[in-house]
Order: sequence, then structure tokens, then C-alpha cells
Amino acid sequence: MIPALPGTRKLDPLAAFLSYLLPGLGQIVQGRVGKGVLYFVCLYGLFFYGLTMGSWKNVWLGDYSQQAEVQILGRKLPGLLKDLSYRREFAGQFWIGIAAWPAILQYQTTEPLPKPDEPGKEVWQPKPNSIFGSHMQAPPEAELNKLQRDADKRWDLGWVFTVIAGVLNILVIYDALCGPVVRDDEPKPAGGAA
Amino acid sequence: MLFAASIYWDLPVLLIAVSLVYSATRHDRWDRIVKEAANWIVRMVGFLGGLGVVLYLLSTHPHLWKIAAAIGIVATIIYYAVTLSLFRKWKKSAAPVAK
Repeated sequence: MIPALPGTRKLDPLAAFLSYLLPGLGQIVQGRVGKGVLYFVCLYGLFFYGLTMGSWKNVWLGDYSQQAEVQILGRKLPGLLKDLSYRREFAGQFWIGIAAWPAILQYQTTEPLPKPDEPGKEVWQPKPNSIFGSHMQAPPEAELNKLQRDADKRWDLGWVFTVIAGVLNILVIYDALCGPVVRDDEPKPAGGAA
Repeated sequence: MLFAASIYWDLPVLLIAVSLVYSATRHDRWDRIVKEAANWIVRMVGFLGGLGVVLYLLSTHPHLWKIAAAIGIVATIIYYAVTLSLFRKWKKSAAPVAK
């Protein structure tokens, strides 16, 4: 193994992967138990608080293959990218790790959402998954409309919380990969600026 | 009334979690994590709270827009003057520990 040069950082990809799976797990494995627990409590707290605010119906990725094509720079987006363009929130929620995996499983197993002009789309109900039921399954449009119409604004704020939790976990993954941004106890490089 | 809506009571959870996680990714020492998190909470509450008050005044007393704008500008200047000087002080105290 090449020894780390002074001022360079040793990377720890395994810890980064563990921190992706469960926020803070990589730091706990590295021996930074307090920080790992802090990350876990804060990020899972934020994510599940957001889920609860959204009646557990604001983390999902739907199959939008029946919907209109999406073009970026004149190119049609294929499969997953098209679905993510319809449900951009999941691109942030994904980074929370295992907690968002039921949505991926539901995405793989649930039938596509109906076309916007399909007759009976208002009463369309996706078949519940055998393991997770309707948890993190793309809700029918009628249910989404009901949640937004009948509830207060907490449903919308809830998905914002889940997205922020996911995006913050990217910083946690970076911290597990190569340590904190500022090395508090590292001696200053000779002749370096303050 | 501004604070009667329950949506505002959910924001402290977000503020505390974001400040603590962000600060913990910057430092390993607990005293510095807590100090930076507290600074972020003060900055965010100050900025968003100030903005909220100005918008509230504008929406409830639209004819007072000149006074509200003047209060907003003065408050912003004071806010940045105070937080920037606080930040400088904090930066000095957070200098690397001599061995």
C-alpha cells in the first residue's frame, strides 16, 4: 500500500458505503462512535419525521413509462432517468440508504402509473407488494390530491424534510470517506497560510 | 396569526438536525461541533425570522411598505455586522491547537 503523504488523506470506501447504508455506521466502525450516533439520530429523526408529516406517502418512485416523454437537450430520457424527472424528490431521498430501499423495491414490482387521459385513472389502485404492502408505493393521483387538498401544508413540508435528510447523508458519506473538512488537531503545514 | 399555523413548529427539528450534521462534517471535536452548530442556528433563525417579520408586516400593513423596507435594510446591515464579527472571533478561537 502506498503510504499517505503528509497533508493527504487516507480514503475509507468501506466506511463510506456503510454510512450510505445507515447514516453514521461508517463513523461507528471507524471508532468515532459519538459522531456516528449523532448522524444516525439526526438524519433518521429528520427522515422519519418528514415521512410522518407526509402521512407516510411522500417517499416513492413511480413507473412513469405510460406518461409523456421528457426531453433534455433534444434527447429523450430513457427509463429510470425519465421516472426520476417526474419524481425528482427521490434523487435526494435515495441517499438516506436502506430506509429508502422499499421505494426501489416498489418501483421494480409495481405496475406503471396510468396514462393521464386513461379512462378510470381516478379510481386506479396499484396492487400492494407482498412484503411492504403499500409502504413507499407510488400513490394513486386521487389519493395525492386528497392529501394535498384536505390536509394542511405539512404534507409538502414533509417531503422537503426527507430530501434534506438524504442530501445531508452525502456529507456524512464524505466524512466517512475522508474525515471532517477541517482537521482540528492537524498541525499547520510549514509556511502555510492561517 | 403567523405562529398559529402548525407548519412553523416543525422547523426547529430541521434547524437543529441540519446545523448539527453540517457542523459534525466540518469538525471532529465536540466543542467545535456544538459551537459551529449554535452559530448556524443563530444565523438561520436571525435571517429567516427577520425575513418573516418583514413579510408579515408587509402583508398586514401594506401601506407601511416604506417603513418595513427601511427596517428590513437596517436589520440586515446590523445582522451581518454582528454575525460577521462573531464569526471572526470564533475563527480566532478555533485556530489549530499547538502541540
